Amino acid sequence: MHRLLKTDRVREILRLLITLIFSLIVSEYVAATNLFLIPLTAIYIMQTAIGNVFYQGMQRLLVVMVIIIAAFLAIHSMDFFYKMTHDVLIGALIGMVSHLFLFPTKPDMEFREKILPVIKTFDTYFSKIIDQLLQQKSEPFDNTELENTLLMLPDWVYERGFDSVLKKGYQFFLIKIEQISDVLMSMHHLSRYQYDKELIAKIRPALLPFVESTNQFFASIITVLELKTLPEEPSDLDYEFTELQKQFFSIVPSHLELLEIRRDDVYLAAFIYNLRDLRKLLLKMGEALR
Amino acid sequence: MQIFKFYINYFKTLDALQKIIFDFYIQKNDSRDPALHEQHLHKARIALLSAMKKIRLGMAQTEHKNLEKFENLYEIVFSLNTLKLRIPDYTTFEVCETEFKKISDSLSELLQHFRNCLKNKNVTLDSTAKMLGKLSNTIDRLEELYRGTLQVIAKDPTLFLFFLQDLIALRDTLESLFLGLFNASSP
Repeated sequence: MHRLLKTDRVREILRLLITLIFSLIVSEYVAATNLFLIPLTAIYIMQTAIGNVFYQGMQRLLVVMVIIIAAFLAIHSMDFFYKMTHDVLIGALIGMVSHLFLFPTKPDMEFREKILPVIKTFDTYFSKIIDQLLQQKSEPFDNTELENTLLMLPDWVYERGFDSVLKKGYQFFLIKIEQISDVLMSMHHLSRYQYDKELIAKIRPALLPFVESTNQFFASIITVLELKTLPEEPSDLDYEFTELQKQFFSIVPSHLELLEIRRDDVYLAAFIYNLRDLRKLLLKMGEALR
Repeated sequence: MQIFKFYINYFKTLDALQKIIFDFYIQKNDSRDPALHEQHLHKARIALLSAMKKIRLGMAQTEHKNLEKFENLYEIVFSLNTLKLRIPDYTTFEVCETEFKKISDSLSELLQHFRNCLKNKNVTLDSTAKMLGKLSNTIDRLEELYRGTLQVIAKDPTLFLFFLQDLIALRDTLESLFLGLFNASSP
């Protein structure tokens, strides 16, 4: 039961059900009209984004009031207008209070729950990209899982009215995640290319330690997001990247900007620059989680 | 056919995404709002990925090769977005403002043309070749700028070389996808 209550959907349904029952009871005793305005308004007011109960609740109340005014203008009955306003205000109050206090959705928990699968997917996706690059004949993989997790990202942090204190930090984190996804997609594109086998064989020994440390970094972020204690600080990937870069420039010309350079070299250089960007973004994300 | 609607939607959302990416590079420094840009980018990203999801669900197994191209296409567009991560001094973009604008416009025209072909089920190879040629020309202009100016003034010109490579890959993938979708043979 406790686990069930942790599921967002179950909590939402329970909250709606309890509010509906409660507002129906209230409506039975105090409603001024027979239009079920109390339960209807309560349920309508509750349909707001996470962390945005008051602002969006008030917006919705305003919409209902406009409808009532329109009804008043059509019917021309002041008494009916007062009665409807009475019911709507009670409904709005019930809706907002129950949304705030009945199984409330905490933005921090919700945000973490949505972010966690994305980081896990990034980790797997990154490993698959490296496999594809190193084993040129390996089975190609698709982006389905990555797409699905990115579609689940908590975009309510962009909503107007979302807690301004939390907004900046959450948006920063979300932006970093999307930037990582851009870098990974760029790497996937580059890993589709058929490289010179010798070139790949030469870069492999320096690439693998970087990959291993990156996987560990992803694992550390996952541990922190799962609210567990980190067994040890992950490497900042600086040493691994420097070694990789050294190895790369020992096998390709250092003047990459020349257009006459081999496509294999340019693509591999772009891949390594992506690794550099990935490192920077992971470090920023790590700092934000401290 | 339902799947054609999904393709049309995909090209529409891809066009919106590329416009947002290029707009950021084209905008003047004082009118650039990175936070708002990221928000628009997020919405465009979600719209594109939703369109891709529909294609995935609606596409037959036999069309797997095209699915890969659809994936690759948006990967390259997202790759174009990484330039801003690498160049913190946005004033460098001002040098390429005209070239970026022309690339974005010709890309938009080409994507619109794809949508029209899908809508009317009327494949016009000549006009497609012309539009692909136009896109190639705009990429060539950027390449000329790269050789003449960017190699001299940019702190790390290699970044623009990667950008150029992405644009060339984008054009090639668009061409290959077009031929794959309409099952046409190369002229």
